[in-house]
Amino acid sequence: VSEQDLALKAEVRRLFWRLGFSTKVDVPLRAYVPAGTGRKGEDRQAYTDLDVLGVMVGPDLRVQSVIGDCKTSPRGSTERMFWIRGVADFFGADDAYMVRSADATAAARQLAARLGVAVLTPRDLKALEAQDGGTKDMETLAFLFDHRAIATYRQALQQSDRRLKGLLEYREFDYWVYEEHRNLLQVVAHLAEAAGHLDPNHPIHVAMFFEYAWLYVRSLALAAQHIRRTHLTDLDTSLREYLFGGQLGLREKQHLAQVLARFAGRKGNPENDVFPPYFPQLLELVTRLGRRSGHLTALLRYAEVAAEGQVARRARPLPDLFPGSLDDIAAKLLLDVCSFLVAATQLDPGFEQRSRSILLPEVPDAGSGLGATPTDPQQAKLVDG
Amino acid sequence: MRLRMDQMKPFETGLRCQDVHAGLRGVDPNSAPLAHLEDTRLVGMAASLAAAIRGQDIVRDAQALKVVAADQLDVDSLAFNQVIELLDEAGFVSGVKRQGGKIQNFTEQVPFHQDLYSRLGEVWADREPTEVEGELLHTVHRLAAGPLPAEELADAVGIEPSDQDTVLTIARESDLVKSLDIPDGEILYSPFMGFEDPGILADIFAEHGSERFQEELAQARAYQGLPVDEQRHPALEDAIARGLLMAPSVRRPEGLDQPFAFIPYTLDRDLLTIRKAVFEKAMAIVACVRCGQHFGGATNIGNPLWILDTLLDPTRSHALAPHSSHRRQYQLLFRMQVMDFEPSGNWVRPRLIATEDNLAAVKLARDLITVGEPLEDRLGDTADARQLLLTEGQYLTPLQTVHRRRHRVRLSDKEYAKTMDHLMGRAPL
Repeated sequence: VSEQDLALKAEVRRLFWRLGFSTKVDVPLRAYVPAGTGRKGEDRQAYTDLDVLGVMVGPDLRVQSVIGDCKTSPRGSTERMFWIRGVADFFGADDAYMVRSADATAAARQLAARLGVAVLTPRDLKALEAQDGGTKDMETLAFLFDHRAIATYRQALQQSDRRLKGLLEYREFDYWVYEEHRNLLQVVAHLAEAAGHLDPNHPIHVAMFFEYAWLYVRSLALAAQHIRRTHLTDLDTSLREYLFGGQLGLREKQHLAQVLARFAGRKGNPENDVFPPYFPQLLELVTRLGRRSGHLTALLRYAEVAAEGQVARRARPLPDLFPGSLDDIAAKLLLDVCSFLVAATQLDPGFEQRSRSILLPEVPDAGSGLGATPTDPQQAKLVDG
Repeated sequence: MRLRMDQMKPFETGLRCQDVHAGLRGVDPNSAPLAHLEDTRLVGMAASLAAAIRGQDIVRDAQALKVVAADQLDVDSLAFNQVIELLDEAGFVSGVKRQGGKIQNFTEQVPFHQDLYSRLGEVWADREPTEVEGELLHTVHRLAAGPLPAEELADAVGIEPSDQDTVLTIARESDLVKSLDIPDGEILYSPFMGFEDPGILADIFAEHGSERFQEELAQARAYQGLPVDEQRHPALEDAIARGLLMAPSVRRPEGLDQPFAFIPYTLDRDLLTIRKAVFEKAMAIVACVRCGQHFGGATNIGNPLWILDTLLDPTRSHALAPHSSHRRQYQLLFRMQVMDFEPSGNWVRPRLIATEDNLAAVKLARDLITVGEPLEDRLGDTADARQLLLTEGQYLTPLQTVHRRRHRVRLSDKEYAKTMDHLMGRAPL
């Protein structure tokens, strides 16, 4: 990736952040292929990558995403519009932007409305940013939008311990192409596999932990969205089904468990064995997050800041990074997710302490005006009264 | 102590601690009997407070909570710190910040699905409560199952006969046990058991004998909405006929009116007074699904909870699938305006009229079927406390506005349906 391209991505990231999204830069998409048929005999092959991805959770728990395609070269912008439309459809993105550092062709602009792909040049970007008042935390979060810091962060993760290769690969590639329901179990499984090699005092390991917390929050939001759509009053059943992609998948696993138990000569009903031992805690977590849909985007943003802040030497507590605008409910909920991951994966408890020191070093008092939730004025009234 | 500790599970222990706490609400906090019940009261207070703060995530001003908890939940303000510490020990709160000995704020992790009472029951046992506390809790638990002659208490509960007077004195002074004098002695019963007229107990005991009545009561207590059979449940049948027990009836396929018995046991007195309409609706709902379970007609209901979950589910429009038996089976609910019937060919599709009262009644019915007594919002004022705490949690407005259907319109089913069609604008003009 050229430095110019990365600078453009950083600008798009800032735009998405201003629009309220949590972001990821460079999300590669790849597929598993029959063994030996990939390049150099690998069993996987890349499709493409998303230059900048924005994720937001709506008040109805709908997980919305936006993608930005960034190129410094002006060539081929017309054809690229069709390509971006295809990628957006493949990924299920709700919106897409084609961003060029030079002007785009007039035809590309004509296609914008037809294809639902916005065209942005540096002038458009500036105009958009000018329209938006911006958030007051942009200065303390400058490291997120600095292309050098982005490059350093990516490099730091890639050069980490070889024993963490599986952890890295899942975060970078597999998470994005697995059927979504699998990720609630897969995030935990990958983190648990690497638990013995992760050190809560190692900044890159802490960054990786928050990267996983980000992925998990997204997956939890998708699960909560599914539950809201399917069976809101019976969360237990709905989550059990979701974990296996539906009732059919669940029954298949239960039959499998029965067959296995018979072969293994085990007594008792093995049907519940198909669920992970942390299922009760997972159910609690999904319930808790599902009730707080308005805070979930903030969870993602905080996990993003907490991860990248480790490497950018900005590992400061969230109240310092979001002075005057911290949503403390979101910080607490992210801490719940971190605590769950530590317990479910048997990570070093130091990760939970580290998370608390970053996310919720001190619960703000009622009079501070922190925690911009709809109920806060009422809460303050109670306290004043 | 002769108590058999396996008599009570941790869940029941936690639950009964809350009963004791609720029973003591009207008792002078400085009275002597309370000195024996320290751990039980603390766990009871913790259960009430945990239910009130569940879902708040962050309690920013614990001192404000202390005031609300004292006012609404009878959590003694002097015991507030201990109660929070107990909840911390149970893993229901964390990050407790103090200043000058006062708790300032904390974060909350009270479980939504996992059992609150089991964990609190374990904490109660870990605190090594006094023998009297154990005996009192067992007494309260035993009487939750039904009345008992005083002379049988020691054997039934397993307490030392020498302790019985002490335990009963505390229980009576704390309003946890009521008694009724009859010629043969004394009958003990729980004030939480909503008998319509406890005075009738004496007649039932005299007519059917203590053992027989208790056996039948235990069946109905364990299976709320028990289909009462004259041959198998003569004492219950008599108790219903005399007006001691509540028992709505539902018409069976062969045209008989089948009574279903309930033994109400609730800490929320309002459920038996100003919110009685909600309780009556809940009983009617249970009676209807029990009827479908036992006397379904074409097909029996497999699991009544599925029916109730469907009625609570807005994504399924609170409606059941059409069935040939539904018009008969849910007629009682149709007449009580808990359900509406939507035509579906020759059958009907019952749909819950999703008012707050009706939704509360279905939830209560769910608790009656699964646990045997109301669990959600046990003390009835948790919702008020939540409102005062101004959480984002779902708040049910107080149900005091429930209109009581004392004067029911006596119409035939057909006439009633026709009237409703006109009232609801479904009839041709």
